[in-house]
Amino acid sequence: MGFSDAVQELLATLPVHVVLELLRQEVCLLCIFRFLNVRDAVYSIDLPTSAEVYSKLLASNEYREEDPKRLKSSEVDASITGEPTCLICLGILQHLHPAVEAQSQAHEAREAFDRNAVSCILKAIKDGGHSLEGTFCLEVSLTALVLLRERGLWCYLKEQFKGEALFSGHDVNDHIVSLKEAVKWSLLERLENALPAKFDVGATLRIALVFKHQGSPEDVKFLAAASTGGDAKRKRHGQHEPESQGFAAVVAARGVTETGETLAAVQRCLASMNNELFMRRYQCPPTKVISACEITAVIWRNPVFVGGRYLKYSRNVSQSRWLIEEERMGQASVQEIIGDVVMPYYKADTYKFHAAGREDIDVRMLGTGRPFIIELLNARKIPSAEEMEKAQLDINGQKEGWVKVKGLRQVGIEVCSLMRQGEVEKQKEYVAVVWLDRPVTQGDFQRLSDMKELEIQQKTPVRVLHRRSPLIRPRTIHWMRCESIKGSGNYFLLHLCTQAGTYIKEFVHGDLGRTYPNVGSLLDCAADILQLDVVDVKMEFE
Amino acid sequence: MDDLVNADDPTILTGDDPAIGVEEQEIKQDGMEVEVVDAGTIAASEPSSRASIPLDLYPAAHELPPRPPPANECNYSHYYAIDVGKPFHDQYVFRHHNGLCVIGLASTHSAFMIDTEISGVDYNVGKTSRTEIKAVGKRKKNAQVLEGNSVLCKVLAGETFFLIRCCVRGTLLEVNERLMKEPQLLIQRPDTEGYVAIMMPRPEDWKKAQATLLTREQYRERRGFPVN
Repeated sequence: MGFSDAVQELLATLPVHVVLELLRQEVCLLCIFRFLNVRDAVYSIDLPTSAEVYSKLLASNEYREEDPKRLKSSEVDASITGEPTCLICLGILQHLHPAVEAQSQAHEAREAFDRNAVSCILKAIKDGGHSLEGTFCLEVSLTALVLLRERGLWCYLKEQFKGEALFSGHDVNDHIVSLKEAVKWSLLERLENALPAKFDVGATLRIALVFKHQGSPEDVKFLAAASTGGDAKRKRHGQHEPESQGFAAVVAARGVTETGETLAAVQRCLASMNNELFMRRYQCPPTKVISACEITAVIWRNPVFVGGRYLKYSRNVSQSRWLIEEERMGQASVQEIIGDVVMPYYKADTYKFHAAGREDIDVRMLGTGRPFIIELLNARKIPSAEEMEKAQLDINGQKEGWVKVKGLRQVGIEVCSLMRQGEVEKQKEYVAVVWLDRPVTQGDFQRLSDMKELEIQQKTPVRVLHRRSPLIRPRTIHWMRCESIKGSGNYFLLHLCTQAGTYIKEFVHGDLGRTYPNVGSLLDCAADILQLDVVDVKMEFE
Repeated sequence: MDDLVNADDPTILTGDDPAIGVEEQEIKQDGMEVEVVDAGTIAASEPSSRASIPLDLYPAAHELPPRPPPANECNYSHYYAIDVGKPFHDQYVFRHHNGLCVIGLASTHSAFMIDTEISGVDYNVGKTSRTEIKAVGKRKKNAQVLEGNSVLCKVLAGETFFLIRCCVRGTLLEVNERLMKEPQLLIQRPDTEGYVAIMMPRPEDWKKAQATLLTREQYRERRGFPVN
């Protein structure tokens, strides 16, 4: 490794005595750059070893006479073990560096594999079976020890170089390049080339690099003393359930230090003490460490959505899986009929079903169909539009024919709010088979079809009153249209269009008079409903 | 009007129209083609050709039952309490499948037997009127828990009155405020709009109450209804 022009130029701009001191403390070159607020590309270029830099700087005339012994010893160390583990980044940044990766790969293949971030990620992707689809987002999860050690070194430097403007700031976090940022600068380009894929913060494929370190005895002591017990208490109360919360939780769980403190807890604790107090509690500069951080890569895909409209022809299929005491209600569910076909195309962990409203199990969904989306969690693969067409054929080809779909395709996350909106705002059109306790007359038809924008008061129906709030909800029946059924005296077909959230069955039979007016009260007789179909959900979703 | 009342010969309706048969097959194969055809055209065509599930969008007359199962029959189990407090103070408890109980006056209640007509319903019993304490929210906060023998209301008939009781221990969710203005609903539609209250018993309380109640058959037998 030589001194490229870029490195020469850079070194010339840095305060030599500070760099030398930091090298003596076994801070890696990249962390030195961080503490001296050097940014951008330098984190990914080829660098000489610390020992080489040390001797070169020492050789530059002004510092020739200073401490020649230390030079010797670090040269010896370097020749045997490469470089000592940086006591600030605990090897995180140090071992990410391309030169170090290449070097250690050659010498100690097994150990290098654990430390090499790129190969670690590649392996995790391979093991998880995720396909790349061109983009990814990288998240870095650091051990809280780094915060501790950065603070420690900062306090030390403030003492050591009192006159130096560089270290006059109070809060270390405002004055150095954050390790996360440096890791990204160092790694991103190589990772992009190795995958190959482009970095994009909005990408659905999330790669998390998680770094863990057990810390030195001083670190552990400090953290134990600083422990407020707050997070531990929360954990005991069972509010932390990483498995159920997806990616963020997986990363958070791995980010917990050995003493059980989360990054946020350590951050709070550090923020609560001033530098003097901190220096009394923690050894500055931080003690040396023997081993480097362990790397784990976690791969996860953010939810992706498949949308369409469904039709339901069965009066014994519910919308969502419906179990009462382990026993299935109905023959099947729309959710499963569609989801179980779509999920394998995405190789997802699981899925969730959302629709623009719902119909009762004994109500069919005909006509335009009802808009729905399937949220696929941790999809390994993104099928093509052609494959989605095939999925649609798979669903529509099922011999039972209970459920059909149309317009099945992958959609963006914005449809979630559209779906909620559709549930509460959009008009719905129905056809009901209505029975009266007396023969139906033309006058009845006239009376119903003359009513436009009829406002009704609907008390929470008895059938859902056990689980819903007792309220009186005003609802609008936009229009009604009647049609006779040939040969039947007491039955007729009622077409009606209503505001979202209207209970139609109750509007027909009156629900003990609790929906008022109702078909019976309007026609001055008793009315009942034989069957109901939804024929339109008036929502744009194509 | 005539064709509404006089049934057409249903055999005509079941006649096979080959054109419609084909259409139905197509629909079966490809659900995407299913559209709700304008109601006018459907009515003009033969509805019975759609008899086979799942495509009977509109049932034909001969397929219709004489009447649908009434909403208050198929969703409820009917129970009765007789001689509640006094002889022939008969009440019904219609229990919805979800566990809620609708309480009302059975047709054999003595309020219906006397000469004086029912003139009012008074929910102002107990410390506060039953109409005043309202259940709020999913968890039915504020609701009153009443005992089986607690009085729900007084039914007034001239000088006399009848006490209507809960018959089951539970949370009072709702009383029928319409009865205060239209007490005649008790007589006209005792099983539906003439209900008195809706209660929510806990399962264990329901079990206890159920043991004291009569089924519809037992009730009819005790009150001497003709066996059908």
